[in-house]
Amino acid sequence: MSTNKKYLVGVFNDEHTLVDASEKVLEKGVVIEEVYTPYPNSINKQQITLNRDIMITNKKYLIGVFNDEHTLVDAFEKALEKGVVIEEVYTPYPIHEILMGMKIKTRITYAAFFYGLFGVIALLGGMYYAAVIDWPLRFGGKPFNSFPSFIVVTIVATILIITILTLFTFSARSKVYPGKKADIIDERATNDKFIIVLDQGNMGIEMPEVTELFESHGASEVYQKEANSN
Amino acid sequence: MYKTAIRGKLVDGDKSLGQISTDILSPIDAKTPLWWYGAFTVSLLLFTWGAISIFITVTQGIGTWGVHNSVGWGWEIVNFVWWIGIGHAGTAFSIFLLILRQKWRTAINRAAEAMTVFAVLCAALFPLIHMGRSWLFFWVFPYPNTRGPLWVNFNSPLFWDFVAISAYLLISASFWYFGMVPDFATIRDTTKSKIKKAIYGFFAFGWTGSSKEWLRYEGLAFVLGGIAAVLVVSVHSIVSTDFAVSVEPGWHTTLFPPYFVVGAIFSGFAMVLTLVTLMKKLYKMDDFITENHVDAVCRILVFVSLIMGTAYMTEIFIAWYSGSEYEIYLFFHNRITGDYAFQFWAMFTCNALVPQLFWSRKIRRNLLLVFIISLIINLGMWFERFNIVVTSLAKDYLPSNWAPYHPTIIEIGFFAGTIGLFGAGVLLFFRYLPQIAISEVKMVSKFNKQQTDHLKPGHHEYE
Repeated sequence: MSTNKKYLVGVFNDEHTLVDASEKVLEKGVVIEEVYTPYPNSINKQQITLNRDIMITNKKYLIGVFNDEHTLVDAFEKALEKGVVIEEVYTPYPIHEILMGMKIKTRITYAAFFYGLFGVIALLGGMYYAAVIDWPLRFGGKPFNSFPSFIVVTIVATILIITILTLFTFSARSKVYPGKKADIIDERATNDKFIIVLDQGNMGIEMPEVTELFESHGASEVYQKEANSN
Repeated sequence: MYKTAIRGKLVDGDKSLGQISTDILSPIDAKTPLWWYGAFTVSLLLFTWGAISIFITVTQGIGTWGVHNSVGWGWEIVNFVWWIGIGHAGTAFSIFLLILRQKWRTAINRAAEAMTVFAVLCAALFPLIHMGRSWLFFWVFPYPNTRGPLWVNFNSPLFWDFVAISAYLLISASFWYFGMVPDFATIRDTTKSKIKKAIYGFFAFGWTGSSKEWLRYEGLAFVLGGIAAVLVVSVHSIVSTDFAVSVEPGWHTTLFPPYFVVGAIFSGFAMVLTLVTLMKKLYKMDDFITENHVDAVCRILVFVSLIMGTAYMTEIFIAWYSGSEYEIYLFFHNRITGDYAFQFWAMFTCNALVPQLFWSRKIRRNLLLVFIISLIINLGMWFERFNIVVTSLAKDYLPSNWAPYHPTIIEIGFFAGTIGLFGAGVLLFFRYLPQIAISEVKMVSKFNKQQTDHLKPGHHEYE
């Protein structure tokens, strides 16, 4: 749906009129998506982003609450069939039908592979540098580059490198990190409810239809909520 | 796919999802029971004894121990290997059972992982203090330094061991922690106390349970599970090379890596059994840790015990078959008979014979007997390490080197201190952290019911 976005474009011939127009529309509460200019200009970028954030946080949600995995998956699949755009689904545990239906992908396993590759090269390279180039020492006539005994450290330390870097990747990509304030839509979602959240500005079909769909497929509650109004 | 008919229900009592949270979190919400204070005080007293022993060792030196030129590795290495072995179970439990799709692990893996972290901490203390000048321990790190730069010996099993243990500690701690993040969020969202909300909320890292989070969380579990399985096998193999690459009789054997890994899993699972029987008895977690769960761990122990028995017999056979007089002397005149016969037969009885009682269904279902046998196994595993470390060193090639070994009160205190540290850690875990992985138990609780076609097989490949 987001790829079918429609834009309204305004073209200006000089900086003066552009700044003037943007200030006027901001005052009227228009959300400016982006401004493109040939050179840096005096438009108040901060004001534009602030304005946009206000509009996003004023998002209105339609929330369907389900009591178990079975009815949730059922309603979720029916909604997708009808062309409903689902903003997010919150569940107490991972449900694979939902993860697949949401059409989001994670490349964390590929990232982990490359961290491993990096780890192996760095470790073998580091040990070769220390034992052969920087400070070669003879241990009972063994070769400086005693590759087989480097493998032990390489395996274990590579696992450590993969773990730590993958954890950081997970933390950064899912935005789960120390000190983050949880953006809770419905706090029962970590306990015993399964929650489908729709953005009222972009639901795909009309609200009564969605409500009817959820209710006929076993939703225990359907309610509306403004973002950040806990 | 999980077949209820084979293993029985995973969660008893037909609980709703909300009840699962409430029941598992009840020790956190309830008043601290009286026995907890008693047990915690005892643990702290033991820990204090250990701290005093460590203080005396560090200020006066290793001379306060019973070790000497012949038996240079006394109780410290015995206890180190013992703790590391126990520490193996957590990751083995989580990872191997995850790979083998054993859904019954969900009730136990959290406690096993907690135990791992505390056991590895205890284990790490021994080599650290054994270094003598433990304040210079960072010299073990291979970092560019002003002493040359003098690099560490990458060919030394002692260095491999250092890398393996540091990696194992960091990885098992992070695996344990990230498993708890969704559960911390559950505490944050269900508790009524503002203080708890703030504290657990901080540790929940802003978790909300959205599909984006779960997707990456699954990816993370998949990656960590896959690579940590290699770690479980490699860490204790590396510990065994501390012994196996030396030329001491009784140590210099290719059997050691698999023998150590299996022994580690054996002692670790026994300690898991000790903990879950306590959880069942003291915290009434019977609905989650059912008789079938205990039964399953006992069955694994019978199997592993047979492998242990085979390993003991193989060692003895190879000592005879090799024709090496030193090996024959060690096994037949210094272990099976001789000065250390008691320790050998204690090991053999506790590890290879007593666990065979688990063939009986009646014994597997008797919680008290299971508890006692789990303690006996851990005792037996301690004797095994004593056997390996002390008998080989006390009587090696030259009779002029022969010397008996007895621990001093300082060494005993040091060991008691680690038991206190472990006990205190486990008690704090019982009191303040979710003892059972809530989100994972919720996920498997649906398998109690008759399958519907909406839960398609194959969609739950890795939890």
